[in-house]
Amino acid sequence: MTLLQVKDLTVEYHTDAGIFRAVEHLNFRLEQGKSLGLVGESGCGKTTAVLAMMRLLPEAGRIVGGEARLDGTDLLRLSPTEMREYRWHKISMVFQGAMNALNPVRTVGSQIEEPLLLHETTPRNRAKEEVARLLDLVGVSPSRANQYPHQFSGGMRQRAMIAMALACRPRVVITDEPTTALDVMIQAQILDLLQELQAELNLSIIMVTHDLGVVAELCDDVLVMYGGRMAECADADTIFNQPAHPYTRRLLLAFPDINDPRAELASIPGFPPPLDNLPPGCRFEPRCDAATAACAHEIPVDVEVAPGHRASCLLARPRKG
Amino acid sequence: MSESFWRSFVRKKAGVLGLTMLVSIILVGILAPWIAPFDPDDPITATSADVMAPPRAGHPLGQDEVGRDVLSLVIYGTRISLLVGFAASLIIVLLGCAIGLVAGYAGGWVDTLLMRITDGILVIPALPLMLVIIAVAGRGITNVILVIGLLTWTYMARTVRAQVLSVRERQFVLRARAIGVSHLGIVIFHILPQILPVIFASATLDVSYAILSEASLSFLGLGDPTLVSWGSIINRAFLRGAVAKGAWWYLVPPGMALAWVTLGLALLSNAVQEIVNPRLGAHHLFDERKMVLLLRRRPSGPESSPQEPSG
Repeated sequence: MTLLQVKDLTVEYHTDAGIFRAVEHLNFRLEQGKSLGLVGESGCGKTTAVLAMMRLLPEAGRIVGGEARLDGTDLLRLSPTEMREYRWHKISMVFQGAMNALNPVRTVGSQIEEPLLLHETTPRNRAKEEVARLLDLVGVSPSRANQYPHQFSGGMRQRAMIAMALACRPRVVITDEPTTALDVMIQAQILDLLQELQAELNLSIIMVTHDLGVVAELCDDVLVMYGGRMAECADADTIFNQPAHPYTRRLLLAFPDINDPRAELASIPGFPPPLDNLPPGCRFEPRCDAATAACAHEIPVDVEVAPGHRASCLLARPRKG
Repeated sequence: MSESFWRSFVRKKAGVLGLTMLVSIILVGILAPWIAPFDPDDPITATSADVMAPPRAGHPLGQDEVGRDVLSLVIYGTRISLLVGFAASLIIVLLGCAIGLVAGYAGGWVDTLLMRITDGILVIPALPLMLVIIAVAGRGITNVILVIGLLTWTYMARTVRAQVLSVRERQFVLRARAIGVSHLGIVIFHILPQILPVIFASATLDVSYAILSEASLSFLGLGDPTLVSWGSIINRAFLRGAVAKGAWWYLVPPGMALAWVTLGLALLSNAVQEIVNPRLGAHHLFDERKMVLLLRRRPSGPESSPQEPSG
């Protein structure tokens, strides 16, 4: 069952330096109890897309068009008050960088308690118990609720942020780079934790990341973004084994393969396109090794390569058989 | 913040000295009726020998032109000077924080409007304006406190606004917004605690500024005529010709008291600012003790003329 469906999402930043289109015509769906990976280089619009869904864009950000239906309700059309109710109740978020997302001068427990009290999920006198339950759920000793963020290790802070995201029992949790800045062992622990929680609570997870390892580990479906647009979208297996978009292929080559540790990593020459100077045709054309003359001026449309597998490339053809 | 802040503070000798100076003068003010040898309000039974009499047994700081004990005057004057200082800086802190927080958090035209008003008040020379207002409004202590407070909050507002501008961009503010904390809640529970130390450091300086302003107003004859403060003592001494008579004991003690409080507050404020913003302090390698250790560990010659840390 489709829980969250995003259609044609377009987001612009209106700044003194001009208007920048950070996300353009983005489409994807998230199934109940599944996880979707949002993958791409820094600045490709991943975080902007999820912040737009959460209606938490910075002042300069404008949602220009599209819809994001959660269980039939369009999040982008809700009034700010209604959205305030929806956030955390229905859709919550683990913010990028757990150190900065926790207020350094307040105890971790009091910060986890905050959404409980604000959304009146738990009566005031039972809030402390609920905080203890949440901390226990994410594997942090409840006795540490009275400590400050600086007394927590990086992994524990991330666990605390996950506990906070789960406070009001949401159906969708967005995690923005949940494992960046953590060492490999802790990364694995956090991913395990997310997987356990997903199974236990029947959560749907959107995982924003640039780490293909995380995607392979955890995600059912993958959306690859480039320059604010979808490059390719399919289930994880297809993305890793039968990528249809040249960018996805190059991205995979830039990532170490455990089965072939001696294979050379290939970086993608050039840089992602600057948002104020986007190429007129396909956004990946200047860096694409398969580009044809048409790619330079024709904007590719989504091609259904196979059922459930879309690629935005002029060269993509429906797979036979 | 609080615990580690206190631990860093006790390590700063100058800061502890400043706090001691401040606490001692506050105690003098509170305990004035018990420690002052005479009450300035008592009926005066002075003979001509008591007029501007120099220090002697019984009157360690001499007497004024009507035979009152100068030491007692200075001790009682502490009360008014400190009262004006703290009351005015309370206004400064409340007004400055409110305006700085609103301007910094709201941004946009609210920020522009508030900051232009702040600039407007900032560019008017404070003392002449105070003189004019007091001359029109009357010489009560309330007026003095209000005038000092209402003309001095601008620095606080600018400092607070600058801090808010940086704190509001931090990720935990976005997180608080996502959770559903109201704007007021974000400002009070998430932003304000971050900038309290800065406000405190700035407020200590405001106290000494307010005390000095009161002294200036009183010296110029615009203080409360019914009350004794350090400024009014100096004003009387000046008007009654203490300078011509060489009665230094009448002029110097209130001046010393002013210097004592101002120095204490400055030391305190510096120490707090150094803790809040460690970059103001010396580089860690220039810590004298650590420098010596580093030099001693050099294999070339442990005792060979350790250089003085420079810079």
